[in-house]
Amino acid sequence: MKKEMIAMILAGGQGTRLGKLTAHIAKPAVPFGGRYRIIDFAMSNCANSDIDNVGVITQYQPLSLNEHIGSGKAWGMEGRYGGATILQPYSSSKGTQFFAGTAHAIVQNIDYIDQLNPEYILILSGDHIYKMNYQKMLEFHKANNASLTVAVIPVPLEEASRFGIMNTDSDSRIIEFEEKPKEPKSNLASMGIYIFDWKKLRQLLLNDEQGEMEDFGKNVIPQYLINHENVFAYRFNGYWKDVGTIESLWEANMEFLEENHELNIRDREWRIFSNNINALPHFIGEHAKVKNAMISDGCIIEGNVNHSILSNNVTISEGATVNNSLIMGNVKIGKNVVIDYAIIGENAVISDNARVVGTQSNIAVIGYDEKIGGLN
Amino acid sequence: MRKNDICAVLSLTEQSDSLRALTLKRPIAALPFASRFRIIDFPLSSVSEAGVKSVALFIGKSGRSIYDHVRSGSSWGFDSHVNGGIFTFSQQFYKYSLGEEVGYEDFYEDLIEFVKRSHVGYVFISGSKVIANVNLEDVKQEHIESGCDITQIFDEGHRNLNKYLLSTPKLYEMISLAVKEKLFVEVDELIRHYSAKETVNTYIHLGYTAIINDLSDYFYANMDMLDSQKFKSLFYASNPVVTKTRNGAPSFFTDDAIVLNSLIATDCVVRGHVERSLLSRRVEVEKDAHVKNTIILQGCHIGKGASIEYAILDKGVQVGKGAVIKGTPDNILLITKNDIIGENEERRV
Repeated sequence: MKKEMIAMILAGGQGTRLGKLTAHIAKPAVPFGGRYRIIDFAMSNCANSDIDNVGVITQYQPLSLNEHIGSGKAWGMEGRYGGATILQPYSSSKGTQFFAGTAHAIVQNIDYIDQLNPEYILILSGDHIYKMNYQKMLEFHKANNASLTVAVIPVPLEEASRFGIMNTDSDSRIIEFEEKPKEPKSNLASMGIYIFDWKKLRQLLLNDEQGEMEDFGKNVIPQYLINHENVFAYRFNGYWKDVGTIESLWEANMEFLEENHELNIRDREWRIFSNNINALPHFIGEHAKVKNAMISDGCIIEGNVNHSILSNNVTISEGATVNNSLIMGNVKIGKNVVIDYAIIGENAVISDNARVVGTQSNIAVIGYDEKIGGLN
Repeated sequence: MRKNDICAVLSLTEQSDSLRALTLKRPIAALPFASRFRIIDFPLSSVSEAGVKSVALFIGKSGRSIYDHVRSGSSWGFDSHVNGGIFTFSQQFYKYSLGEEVGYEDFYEDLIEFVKRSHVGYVFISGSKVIANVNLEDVKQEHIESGCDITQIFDEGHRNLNKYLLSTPKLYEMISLAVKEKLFVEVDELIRHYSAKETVNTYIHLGYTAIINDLSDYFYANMDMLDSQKFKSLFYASNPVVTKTRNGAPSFFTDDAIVLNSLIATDCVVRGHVERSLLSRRVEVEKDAHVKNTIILQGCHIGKGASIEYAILDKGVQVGKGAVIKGTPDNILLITKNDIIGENEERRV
């Protein structure tokens, strides 16, 4: 069966600015919002946009990411004609090569794409929080007879120099692209989401004997503009967050906690799927106080939780107080512990009476499996 | 004995008048328990942990709710065996209505065929109205050591849990005797009937156990799960209890929420007061509503200022603003599936 469009998710990034949280796992695998991982948003957007072939390109510390994606079953992609496929660097007659850039990662996996032989290819990055219908973007791409469509989002002009900025004409045609411009001419930032006509891209990438086409932003988009290809900007106006730093990860989680948040996680028409674990319902004890909080399965709460997100199987003992924090899965919090403005990594243990207190501008981070307080 | 040398036969045909309103469209085995489980999860988890590959479910009626929950059995790993899996036999009540001989002979035939094709040495037979986390590995060990024909399982209070382990030849022997003597009964009853002539070992199951015979049993077994000792005894002392996993957002509690001593599943939104209660998935409790000593099943909505006590709300019940639903500890009020309780309406026992 010929595929109209398949997706390739670039999930190899390390996310160095997330420090301890990405020391052993890739950024797309970082837990988010109580029971999700960052990549669930891109994966679920694919599932909800009826894209059932997704190649997930991994590289940096891929174990937990590969385990999480599996065959794509959690996203309903495990059918006769669909599936998620983990694509990792491999050695061939040309030697072993790690992916040098986003476009390079696609070239290396050309066999996978050829096997499906799609008309269009959707390139996504695995580390953004948003809900988007890629079919609508494809319709836009087709209507413009484009060979490349780049999704863009308006950002505040003073922040525009942090992004790849697209300068467009009144028909949304991209006439100029500037990577992190000092003096931005527009505020339309690239979201790292591209739809290419596969034949044309394939040709460009295979004709590139010097290996110059390493990166979409740096090399491929400028080359398309030089070649006078039809390159269009698809404007997205919804919630979109790059959770590249500890502060932005914390902030995105706290936004997620707002009752009428734009992401609307309880919307059953556009569900965010994740690997479901088998856990008990959460147990709230007689002395517990839970307010303004999101609580996942398997938690046992005897203490106070305010303005926080608790992932699966978190234990909070009597007298403990958790405020303004994200607690990842399987964390144990002892008696009378105080946690404020913090992110606590999976499997961490915070012993009785310990304090983990940050501030809004300096979030305290406890790494995965770390033990705080108590007798060592 | 090999690890996989047992097949399991679960009889889901038990009935109860007092539970009628809850079990009109589902067997007792399909009743929700502890906010996210169903009673059938307990025997299914027990046999799955013991490496059982083939499970037969004998269902009284159409079994829609059971099929919907069990599907291929993938949650318990029954779909991953090269041989084996979940085998369902529904409409048993209809078959029996054709007359004992026709209906039950058909049943015996299905049973023998299932056991034969499982290629096992032992059969585990169980009803489905007992909530207990039985370690079948243990039962098997003890059964072999005892050298008896049959092992029956009791709880610490010497109650018969209606669970048996016996060899396949012994089961065939009993069935052929039953056909000859024209004794047409359910398989558990068959074993009880003939066990007088056999050597019987009694295995005592330690840990929390509930037998669901009526509405009050059902209500209080759920309430027992708010006692952390009993909760831990059932869920943490032996095998993990596995259920069908579902996708849902974490539950959300607003600034106004007050929740005490409760068990809450995913995808709930709580804006009001919840105390000593169990909430299944996708339950919403609006501001100033009071829910106390109550079981609320999936998808219910409790309007602003409503007050609910000693009640069971079946799936999809909509409670209007300011409505009052009041049962008593001795007389639990049941609100049936998808019922709509109007604004300020009162329902009392």
